[in-house]
Amino acid sequence: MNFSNLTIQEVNHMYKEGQTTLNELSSKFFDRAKNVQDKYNAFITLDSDYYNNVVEDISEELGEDHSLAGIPAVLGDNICTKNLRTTCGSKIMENYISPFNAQVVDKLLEAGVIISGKGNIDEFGAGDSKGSSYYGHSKNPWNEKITPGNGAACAIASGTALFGLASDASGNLRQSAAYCGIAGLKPTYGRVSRYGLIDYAPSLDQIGILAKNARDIALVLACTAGKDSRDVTSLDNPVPKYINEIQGQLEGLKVGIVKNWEEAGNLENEVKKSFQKEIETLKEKGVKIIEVDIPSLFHSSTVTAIIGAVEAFSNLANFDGVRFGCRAESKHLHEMYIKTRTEGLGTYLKRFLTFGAMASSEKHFNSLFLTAQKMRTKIIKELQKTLEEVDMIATPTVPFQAPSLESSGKDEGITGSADVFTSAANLAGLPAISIPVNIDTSTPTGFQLMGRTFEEGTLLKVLHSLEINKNIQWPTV
Amino acid sequence: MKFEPVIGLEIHVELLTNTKIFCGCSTTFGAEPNSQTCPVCLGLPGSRPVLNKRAVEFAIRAALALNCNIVDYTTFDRKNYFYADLPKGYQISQYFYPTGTNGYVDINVNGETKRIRIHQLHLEEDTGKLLHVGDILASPYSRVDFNRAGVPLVEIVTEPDIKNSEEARLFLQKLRTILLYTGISDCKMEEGSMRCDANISIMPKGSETFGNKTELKNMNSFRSVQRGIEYEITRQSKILKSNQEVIPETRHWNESKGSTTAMRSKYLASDYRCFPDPNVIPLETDKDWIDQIREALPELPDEKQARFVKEYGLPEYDAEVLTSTKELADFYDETVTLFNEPKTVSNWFMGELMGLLNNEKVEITQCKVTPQNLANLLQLIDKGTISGKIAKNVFEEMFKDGKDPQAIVEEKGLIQISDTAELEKVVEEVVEANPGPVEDFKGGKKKALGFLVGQVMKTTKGKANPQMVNKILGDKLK
Repeated sequence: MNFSNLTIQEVNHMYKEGQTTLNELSSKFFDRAKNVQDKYNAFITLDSDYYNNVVEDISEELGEDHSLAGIPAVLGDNICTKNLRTTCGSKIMENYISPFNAQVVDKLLEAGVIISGKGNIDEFGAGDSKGSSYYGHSKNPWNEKITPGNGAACAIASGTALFGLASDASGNLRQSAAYCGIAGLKPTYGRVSRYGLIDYAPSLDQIGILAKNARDIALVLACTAGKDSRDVTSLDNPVPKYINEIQGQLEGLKVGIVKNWEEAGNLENEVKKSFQKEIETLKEKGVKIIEVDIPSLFHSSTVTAIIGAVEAFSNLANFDGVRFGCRAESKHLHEMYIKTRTEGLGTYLKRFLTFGAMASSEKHFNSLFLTAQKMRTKIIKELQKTLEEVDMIATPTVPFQAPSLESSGKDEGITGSADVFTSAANLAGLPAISIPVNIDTSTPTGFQLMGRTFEEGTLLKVLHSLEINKNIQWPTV
Repeated sequence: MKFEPVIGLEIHVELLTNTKIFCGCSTTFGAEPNSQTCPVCLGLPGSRPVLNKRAVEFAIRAALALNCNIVDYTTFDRKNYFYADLPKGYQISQYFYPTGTNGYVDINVNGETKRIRIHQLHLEEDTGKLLHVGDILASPYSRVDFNRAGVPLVEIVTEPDIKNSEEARLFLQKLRTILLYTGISDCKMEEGSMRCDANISIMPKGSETFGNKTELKNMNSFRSVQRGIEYEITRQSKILKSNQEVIPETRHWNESKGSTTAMRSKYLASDYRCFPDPNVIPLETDKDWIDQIREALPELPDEKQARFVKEYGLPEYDAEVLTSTKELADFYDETVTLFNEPKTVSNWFMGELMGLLNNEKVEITQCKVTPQNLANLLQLIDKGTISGKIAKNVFEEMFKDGKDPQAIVEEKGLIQISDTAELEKVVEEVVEANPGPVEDFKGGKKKALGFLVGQVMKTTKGKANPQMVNKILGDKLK
């Protein structure tokens, strides 16, 4: 069985034709996950008991079209799972077991998905894969010296899961997709319930989907999308049959290219070239390319960092050692807070939280937090206006190729230059997709499309159209 | 030097919703610690608040009853600080757009109406409670009970319009009465469903510059609010008289010692870094909804009092007492409907009914006498079936077992003797038996008549019709 190339459709086919059974496929995937774990460190938790129980509980019919039954998946480790620990990539949550499942987890389990384990993440999902996880770096299956982004993308690229769910607060999910040569969709804010996502910035964070192709993403999105009464920010717009929406021609579609996109900091030539190549392909498919002006776009990374840090400072205040998680020995309450958080949280996160406390303090509230909020409103308006003109906005996903692991951990600023193109979608709550490009050269990168709210289907259609005829040689493990 | 106190109050009132403000947990008081909790009110990672609309409705109802302007757009904001009883590390409160602003409550100070302005009323969640072994400082550990965490509260903040401890007490009592009328809270200070902090400063009489203020906490009854404020005014006066400065700080009222002690300085004011909670969507309170709530408001104490004066012709004092609780006022209203002599009914309320309620420590809601039975009793007096004096005894019986007065009267043979022949017979006996007083009366001592009437009543065990006895005796002794 060639694990690396498998997709949901192919596994369904194999079930249907009797080429494999649930027991065979599930045990092979779990063994493989365990075998490659030493090499790539994609998972924080791989628990065979949990895995076997999940497999045993599957009552769904296998091999149905559009079915997720019997499909192995990975979850970012800030998505709550009952009976399986949720560490958030942090020491403070090393042994935390949530009393409830995230809404998306309930939905996946109901559909018969095999949750194979919890993927590595930056501590609490904050940062851009700078290696702030307490559980060490993950390594990129394409090249062990570079980062894969999050562990979920790594697991998919190394053929240990067919899709993954992970958080995206400023672009981490899409960046990870770009680094690993897979596709990543951050849906519209409110499309997927955030109940059970341990987010650091509620106004930015979303649960997104990582998979190899548009078809697989469409199936997973159809399964996870919808209103949840436990998350009031989720919306009850109807959930379309995404699998049908991905079909069709791109002719007549209008795609905007940001006027000064080449001025983005740290833009690498390779990325620039592959982006231009992808634009040419779109043109060939009859897409109308239009230059658009989004003057404040390049402020979005800083704005996201300020808002994200302020929300994180408050949102992560419940990690205090009182009710759950690690608690440091101490003589009194105040000392307990200080010691617990000093020992339990990592350096980058503490710096980020301190910055958030500073940016929201009386002294800096107006000059930093309020200014950032005003700029957020401005960016949202500019994007909305642009999306009246064009159907979607194209940029590279990340201005550079996956950074080397050696360089990560150094120069940890608060704003991440990897966010420059991705964070605007988080500020505006727009859906955005990273489309894998350059995967034939073994240093994959991404092409990002940002669309109108609730038009995930159109983004997936473009992805689907672009992946046709691409013959990917996945890294052998 | 004479000093003038300036006092403002902050009152926290727990709302009587069935469930908490952001989750479905019960709000019942007194349950086993942490038995009424869930991931949301425990602040567990990944849980999300879902706003209880009833809590917003109650806050609007309270704000309307306090004559506030109602906000049309509001956010729920995070007030960030660390404390063990605060599960999320922030309290969700209406920091930027309080539900109500610019309201007032009128109080009666020695017969004069004084207006205490309400600065604002906002909605927020309560915290948990720390439990200690004995004194907090001596306790080897702290335990936390989160049953109270997430119970909806309104905080009512007055302008510094209060001048002394008596006004503070009158205001609190009036506020409690109004809130009880609206049904949004049971306002039990002893259970903590109504809590009061006081901001107190003093300044030389006639001055326009406020002095440094202290905030007084932990006053658990109207009495302790009054005592705490008095203590604090005296303490501050002593400081100023000795030419020292009052330290702006939070002080703790110690009920058993009858004094206040410093808790924390206000120089190091906390920075709560408030910002709107992204997990709770902003709320637009549309006009129709507010109008609906306004229309559903009951008649409030001031309106009721005015109506009692105007419609029933009652003295202000009677009207104030009778409207002191909604239940009492309703009882009164109903009785008057059945026996339309408002002042007579009022006298019975203020005298007999409230007397017995107080003596027996019974709430009007638990009173066995019904408005119908009381009206029946008053009719028996009115018709002359029983005397007013006998009626009081009958009423005591009614109060004890809830019986109909007619039945008691018949059972005990208490019907008034209004038969002239029968009364004349008794009068004759009394006149014969008391020659002395009869002589006295005839000699001009009018007082002696009273004695003789009393003897007649005694002989008839109080059943003789007193007006008739007076007349018959008078005629006989002419």
